[in-house]
Amino acid sequence: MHQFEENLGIMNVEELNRIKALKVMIVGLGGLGGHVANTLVRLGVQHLTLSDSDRFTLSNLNRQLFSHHETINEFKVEVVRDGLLEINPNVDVIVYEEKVQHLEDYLFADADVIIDCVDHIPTKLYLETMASKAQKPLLHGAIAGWYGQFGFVMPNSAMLKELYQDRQEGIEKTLRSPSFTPAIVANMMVAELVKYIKKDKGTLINELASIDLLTNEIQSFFKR
Amino acid sequence: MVTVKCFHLLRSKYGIEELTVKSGTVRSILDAMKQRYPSIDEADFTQAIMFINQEKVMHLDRFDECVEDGDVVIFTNFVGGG
Repeated sequence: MHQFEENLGIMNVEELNRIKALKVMIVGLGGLGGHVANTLVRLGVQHLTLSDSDRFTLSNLNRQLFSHHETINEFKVEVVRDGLLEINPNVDVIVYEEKVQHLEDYLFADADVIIDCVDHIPTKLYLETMASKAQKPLLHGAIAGWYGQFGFVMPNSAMLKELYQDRQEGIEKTLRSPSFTPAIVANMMVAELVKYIKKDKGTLINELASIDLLTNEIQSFFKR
Repeated sequence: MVTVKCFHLLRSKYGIEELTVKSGTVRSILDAMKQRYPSIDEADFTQAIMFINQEKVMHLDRFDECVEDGDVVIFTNFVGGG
């Protein structure tokens, strides 16, 4: 018996080993990022770099995994790292309590995949630029209210730049972030990562899907 | 004819899933939609984005752009939260 054997119904041992060897960089450890990190470690990922300059606040508790009354005012990346080590003590987690714009370029080049869990459109565009520069896939996710979107943005596709253009914020400003949407979208992002590792034909590569939890629909809306 | 689909807020607010309108400019498509759904507040659409055949992205300040017969138009909103 081993920790990840229940994952082996949808992947073989060779695929699990690829997941274990994968170097993942998660940017943003809020609603999406906490759930993404948690599920990745439960999936078998053992090499993670986490970047977020924020500390947990009271308003994070409605949705952000690892946020508790006792972790308020602590750096998110440190709390998440400690939580991940409780799930798997062998996981290698490097944390940066600073804005992603301050990170060195080599960190992007060292990652096999970069995951966009940030809540700020200009930072999403920065991540797209850095992932492109490093020639690494960017797994994008975003939410607002009942809605979310996710998919892989590959180097040089500039899909996010075309999508967001010069806009600074979307409908999340009014619809905000309820308890359940980040967890659902985060786990759909991880499902895409598994499909990517398995080279599944249904993977959203240079394709973004939209999820509507009011109508229970998932639809592709933007392709390259 | 052009197939128009609405996602997210526009879908839940106006109950529009899919409709067919005559091809023309973005302006004429919005006008045709307003004829069928008089409660449409254009401000909701000017905050939206539009995709043509899942490729071309238009922020709705380009009302003169043409949409061709057979195109599928999706109106949706920005989502940028994390």
